[in-house]
Amino acid sequence: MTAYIIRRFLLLPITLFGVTLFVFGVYSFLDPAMKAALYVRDIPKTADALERIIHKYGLDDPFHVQYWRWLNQVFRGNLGWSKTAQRPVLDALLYYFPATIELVLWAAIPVLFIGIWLGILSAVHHNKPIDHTSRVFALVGWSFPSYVYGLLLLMVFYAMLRWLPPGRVSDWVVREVNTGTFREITRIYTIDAIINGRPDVLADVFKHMILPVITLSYIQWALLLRVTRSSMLETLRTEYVMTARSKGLSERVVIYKHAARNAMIPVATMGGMLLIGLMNGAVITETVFNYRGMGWWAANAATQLDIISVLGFTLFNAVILSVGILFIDILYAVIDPRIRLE
Amino acid sequence: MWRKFLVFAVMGLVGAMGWAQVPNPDTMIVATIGDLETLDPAWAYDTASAEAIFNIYETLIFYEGEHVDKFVPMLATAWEISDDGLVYTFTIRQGVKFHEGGDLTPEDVVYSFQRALIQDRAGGPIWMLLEPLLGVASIEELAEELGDDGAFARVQEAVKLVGDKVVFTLEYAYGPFIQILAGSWGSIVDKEWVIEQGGWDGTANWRPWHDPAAEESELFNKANGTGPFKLEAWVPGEYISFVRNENYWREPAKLARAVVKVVPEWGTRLAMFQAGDADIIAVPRQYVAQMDELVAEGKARMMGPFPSSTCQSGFFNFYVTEGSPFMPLLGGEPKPDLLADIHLRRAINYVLDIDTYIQESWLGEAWQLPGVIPEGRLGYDPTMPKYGYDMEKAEQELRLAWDGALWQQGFRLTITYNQGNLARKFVAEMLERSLESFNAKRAAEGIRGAFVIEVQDLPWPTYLKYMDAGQLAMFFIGWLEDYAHPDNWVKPYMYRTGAFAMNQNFDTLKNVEFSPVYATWLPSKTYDTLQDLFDEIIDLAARESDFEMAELLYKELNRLAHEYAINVGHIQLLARHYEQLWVQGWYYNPAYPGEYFYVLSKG
Repeated sequence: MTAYIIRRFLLLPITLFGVTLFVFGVYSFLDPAMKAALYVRDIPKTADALERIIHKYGLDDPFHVQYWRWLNQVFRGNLGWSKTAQRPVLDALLYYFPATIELVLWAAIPVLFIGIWLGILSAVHHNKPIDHTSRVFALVGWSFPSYVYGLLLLMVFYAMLRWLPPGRVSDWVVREVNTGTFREITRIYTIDAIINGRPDVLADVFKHMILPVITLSYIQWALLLRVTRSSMLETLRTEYVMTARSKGLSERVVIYKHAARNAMIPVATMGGMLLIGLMNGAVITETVFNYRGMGWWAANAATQLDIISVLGFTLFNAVILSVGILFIDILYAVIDPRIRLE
Repeated sequence: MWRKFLVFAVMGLVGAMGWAQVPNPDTMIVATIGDLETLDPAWAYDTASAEAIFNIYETLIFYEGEHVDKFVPMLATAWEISDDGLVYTFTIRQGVKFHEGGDLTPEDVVYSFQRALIQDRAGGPIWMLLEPLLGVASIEELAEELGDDGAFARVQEAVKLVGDKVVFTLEYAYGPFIQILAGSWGSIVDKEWVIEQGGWDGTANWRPWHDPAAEESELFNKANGTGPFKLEAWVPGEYISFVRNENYWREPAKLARAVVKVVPEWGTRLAMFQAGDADIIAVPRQYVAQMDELVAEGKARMMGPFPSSTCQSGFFNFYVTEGSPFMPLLGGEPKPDLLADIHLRRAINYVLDIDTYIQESWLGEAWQLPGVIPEGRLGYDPTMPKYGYDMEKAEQELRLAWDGALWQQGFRLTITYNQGNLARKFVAEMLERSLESFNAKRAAEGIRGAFVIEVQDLPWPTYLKYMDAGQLAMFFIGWLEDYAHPDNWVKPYMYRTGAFAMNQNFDTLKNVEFSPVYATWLPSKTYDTLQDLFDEIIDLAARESDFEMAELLYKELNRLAHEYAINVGHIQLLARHYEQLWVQGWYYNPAYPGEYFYVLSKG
């Protein structure tokens, strides 16, 4: 397995090279005037405005010259300037990523635990009221656009009740960050609040996190519930489970020790997809809740045709996804000893 | 049941308590859509940046309250304009301190303008200063002609210190110059402080500071002005906050702090407003009904609608440049000058049901303009003629177009707009339906060859590229005023180098007869081209120091724009302002780029 992991890591630069070539290739379909137009928000007011921009940034250079120039910068750690984030792309990635990771990790908890638990419960109590309720719950989660219920939650719990505000933290926390009285160490505020010994900040972070976490996790939660339920139902019908029952093992041992472990194999495969789903879902959730993370930034960069940011973001996502998929492959082998990674 | 009632009662009570309080009484919070690009006054050319700059920095003169054409002294205590309109002399206020402690001096004023002139970033606002002061659209142009040193010598001559006064010497008399000085690009910076930050040192070696990218400017994310608020923090993409300048040379602001938050999602902005966490929010037109409900319930205040400084129009290109994928056809043959025919342009104006367009696309909050100058600017006259919806007149004009060839042979025209702009899509499709509706009648007359109108949306970069190359036959776009003067309308719409006119090729019309109607002292004569006629009157109007004569010249231009039907569906949009009931002091000045926190308070 070690050789496999090393091989996968060695393949990573080639994958990334392919990704950059593809994205830059798409960008090169724009001719110099179109690329220059990306730099102006409004109509050019003077006749030479676009010409000057083309000249300044070398937008009429051949593809390989522009690509090589960009790649050279990337090797030196310079991913360019994000006009959406108004900071270097690398800084923007480091600035926004912790926020999204924090949101995704908190969202993963209900997704994994409640989703799996409800799925098992639903399968064990097949066609009983708890199963019907869970299925309805999952169906609603699947069919209700997260954008809509995100806004609904915001209207009820913020606009009406004023309990759970949008944003990442309150203004007073932001001011403490700016004045240096609260130190940002990881930029994952739940961790930073603990390191700083600030329960008040921790409470504020949680207050801001509840609605985005619910919005982000619900659809994935519903998905995992369905998959776990199906897988568990199938496993419960297998002969070895019947054997275990006939041996007189307690129902709890049969379900959690014998059935659930095997039922988790397709669920583990789903886990990777779920993580990707959560990262993608962050785009909508972060936009609705004005939560400044990668999703919010990516959506803004795309709508504002901020190509440099999109390139950087894509590159970063490719790294994250490649590593994530590798991790899931390894996890898969750990759960199912029959699988050997070659 | 009673539980439900209790829950709603509690919710109502909590709500009522919230509305009764004034949250953060000394902090004004604005939730808006877009973030600023820079804090450098010479670089900034977007309203969000200008809003921040105009609360931190100050200009020599400032608008008097709601007026866009009356000014009060700000960092200048007095100014004089020479009789020939070429020399502007400013006396600089004494005893004014920058936020970082430096004293305002006349040298700072000279440095601020010279720095702007040599910085002149591509696509930036400095063309407004360069054109009247140096007679060029970019400093590059001058450097190519005179070399870097020669160009700098001209800059030093254009803005200089004479005794303790700051003197601007213009290339030609230019009435709007005073309005231009009131823009954010006219903000005064502290010379010593800027140099300390790595800025231009005031010498002839100006190249390294010329045309920087936003982030390369030393003032990109820091600010040190003389204004009523100091920069507290700018977290790009999130918010910018200001704190009161306690050492302000006027009475300090009533607000201790102001915050402009970037909240692009409408639902979130509305929720912030309802929760009392935002005092003023940006309300796109399609959501005004939701805000009006709050107004009706006594939970918000609406001010307006006011005539804004934005117009929307359709433009005719009199000669489509070769190679265009949107080349018009007449009888199946390419006809680059199809729209040079006045009858066709008039017909297109007559087929547009402008009232329906305004109602459907702008919810009734716009009005049609005669000519090109909007309400509130010199030369606007609501009694001047406008084209109205009249299919009979349209048919008459269509039959006359190209000496009857257009009616007999049919034509193809592509109307373009930028992708995603639904209002422009709507008006383009209205024109498509109306013009193509004549095909039935023409078919009944036994005519073959249809009127074909294609409506094409283009992504913004593609749209700009084709527009810049003069390859769009007919296009819809909007204009946001740079400075509050009719010159900023007739120039882009009619002048040779104007943002739109330069892509419309008015030169195509030759031997144009002119007889004045308003500016009766002008001689009747024949101009080589329509463009020559427009340019001459625009230049005369800009140089005219007599208010009444200038007004007549602008009216003449408005009349010509109508007579030659240079555009279609030219409408001025109306603006609304929504705020919490506790916001005090707001007034509308269309020249303000955003909220001027100095005049606002809560209570």
